[in-house]
Amino acid sequence: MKKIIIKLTIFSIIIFISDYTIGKICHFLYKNAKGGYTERNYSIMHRTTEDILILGSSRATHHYVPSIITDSTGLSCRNCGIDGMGIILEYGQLQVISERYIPSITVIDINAPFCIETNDNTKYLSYLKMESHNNLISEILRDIDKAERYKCISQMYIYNSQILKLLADYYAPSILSNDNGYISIKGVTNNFPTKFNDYDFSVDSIKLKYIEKTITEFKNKTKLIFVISPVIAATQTPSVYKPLYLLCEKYNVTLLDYSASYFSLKKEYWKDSAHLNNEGATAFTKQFASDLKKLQKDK
Amino acid sequence: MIVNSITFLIFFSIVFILYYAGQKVLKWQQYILLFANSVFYAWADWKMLSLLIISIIVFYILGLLIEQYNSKNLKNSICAIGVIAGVGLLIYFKYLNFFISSFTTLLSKIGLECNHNTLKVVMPLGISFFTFKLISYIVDVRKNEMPACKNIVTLANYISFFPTILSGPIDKSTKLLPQFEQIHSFNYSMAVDGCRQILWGMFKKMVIADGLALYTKTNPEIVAGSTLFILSIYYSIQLYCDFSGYSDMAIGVSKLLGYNITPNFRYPYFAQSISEFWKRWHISLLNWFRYYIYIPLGGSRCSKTRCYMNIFITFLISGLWHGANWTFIFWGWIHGMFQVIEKITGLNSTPKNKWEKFFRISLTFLIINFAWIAFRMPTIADTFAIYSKIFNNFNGPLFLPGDKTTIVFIIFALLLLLFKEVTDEYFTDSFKIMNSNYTVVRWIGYVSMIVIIMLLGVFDAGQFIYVSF
Repeated sequence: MKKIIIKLTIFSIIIFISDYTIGKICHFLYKNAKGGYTERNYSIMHRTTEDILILGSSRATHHYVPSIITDSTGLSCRNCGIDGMGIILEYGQLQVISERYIPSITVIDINAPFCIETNDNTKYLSYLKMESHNNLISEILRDIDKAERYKCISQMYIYNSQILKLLADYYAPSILSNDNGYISIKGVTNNFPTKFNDYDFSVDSIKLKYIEKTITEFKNKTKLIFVISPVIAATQTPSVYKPLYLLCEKYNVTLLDYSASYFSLKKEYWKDSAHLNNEGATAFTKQFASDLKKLQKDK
Repeated sequence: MIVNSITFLIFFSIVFILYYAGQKVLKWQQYILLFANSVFYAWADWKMLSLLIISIIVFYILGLLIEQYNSKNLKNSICAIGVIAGVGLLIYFKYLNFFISSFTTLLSKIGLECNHNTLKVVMPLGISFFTFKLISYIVDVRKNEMPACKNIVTLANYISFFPTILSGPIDKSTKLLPQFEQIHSFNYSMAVDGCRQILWGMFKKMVIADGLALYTKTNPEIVAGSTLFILSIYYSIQLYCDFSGYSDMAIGVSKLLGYNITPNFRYPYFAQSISEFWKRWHISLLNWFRYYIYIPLGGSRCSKTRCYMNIFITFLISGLWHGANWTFIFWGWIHGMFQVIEKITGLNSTPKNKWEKFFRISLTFLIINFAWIAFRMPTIADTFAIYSKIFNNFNGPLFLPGDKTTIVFIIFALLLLLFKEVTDEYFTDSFKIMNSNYTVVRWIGYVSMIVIIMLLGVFDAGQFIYVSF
């Protein structure tokens, strides 16, 4: 027994040193990423200075053209969408950003699967874990999964499943956007549905809590606008968005709903079942920018 | 409580300390283990703990009764009661609704419409595994292969041993039960071996199986045949790494407590025939089927036709054991059928040269791979839809979710797995990193494995696939 205890102690020390060293290397790669989603996420958290920030999932990334919004409103704008991410990351991003500055307008593009429906919330933590040294972020991590606080003691775990991305984004970076975060996609879908099929879903109370937290903590600091960007073939707002309507009504927050708009039914505007192509995004952003301008005037 | 979770680590650390704190007192170890088994099972499924306890008490009494009576007929009757009780438990909790709905579907197909209600039965976790252990115990006692267990705590520990209750291995009572009647002193080399196996099991489960699981969830309707074929290979590897990863961890944890559990896998995808595959895949289950179904049916010591029939029946039952669905029966049918074909054609003989060997390994893998599709899909119709897409619509665009880095990660992890399995199967110990004679090499292997798990492992993937069986 003594032998194994001694060996385990030595082994633990080696693991601790490896963990610390590799963690530090990963942190360096994260902070100094030259492209890809690593740099995008780090920049959103630590380098943004724009007046208007657009947060959301890939639907945000591909639907909002910042240059059009800037031309229309006269305010600088940045598209901060991140693929596959939802309100939990967006709340965290806002927390970190607000430590530096508060944007004049914050647009949050709501995508039901990532912001309302029930699914595994730990998948939204991957980018937040890299900021776990920040107390506000570590609180979110704890809230979503109690074990995260213990797991994040390991410096390597913080960069779990990111290492290859970190290396690629440092040594062979890809430039994602030429227009302040907007990523255009080309092509037209072959499978354009004739009607939108509403589906069974369950509402995730945790995600709703984070929408509510975002509203209560930021609505008096920034002009908060929730947007449902066009949904393919929708002739009416899908029922999944009802909880969002109720929250926006309760707190008197602006909600712009384009889910069943003109863009939804125009096949040429869609790249696939979830994303507008460049033509669609340009047309939609023009409409959105004009509505944003009206809101500014009303104010 | 998943074996590769922090909760389990805390739970096991406490059990380990308490267990060896009384390593000179048998009763202490037995009661600590009983307590640990109860906590582990209750954590997973507390509502069904009572069912497990009642089953153990019933089989304990039946075992004593078999030993007490001298009449052969009476012994047989008591044993039959035990077998019926074990199978009955399985039928009620696992198959009743399947049988009801299959029967009514059959009736409606021949024009006899009938309304039916399925029962709301919750399947207890690990029922397929602990009922097989119960049956194994009662049959072994009846066959006089072992005496009836006089101490109910020993029997309870054998049936509910926490590393193996949810997904096996299903050890024969004659092999495992006597180990619960012995004092276990801490054994350094066994413990090191156990840790090594846990580490490798974690790599297989967290890095490969759970990594590939992110891709095998892809909706088959939206991808072409070529993609489905690649995803089917992913699933074959995922299933192997998930299940053998669990088995490795279960065996490793058992070794840390001083118990020797039968290895459940021996590099199954290097099998040169389906018959050989079943000597390498889920070994403990196949041993169980061999002892308690195939041999009692007559085994191979009968006419050829009868022997083929025995193989077929054994594999149909094996398919049904995996789940109450026609897809599992179909999967068992494929395996049974190919084994019969191999026996008839002599294809299960040793290959003549290395090219034939390579060809046979590849062909066997392809057959197994296609059979796993039935294992994975919810219905037979879905299974055939996939087959049809692979064979008729192969030349569609290749769609693999994820970016370049994820593809690099998959290749890296699979190469590592392949390297380990090839060196274990075909080379001597000197090629083995984690078993190297040189401490430095071994330790580099351990540290690298932990680093890979921490950086590339999936930590929140949830339960193992075989737990649902």
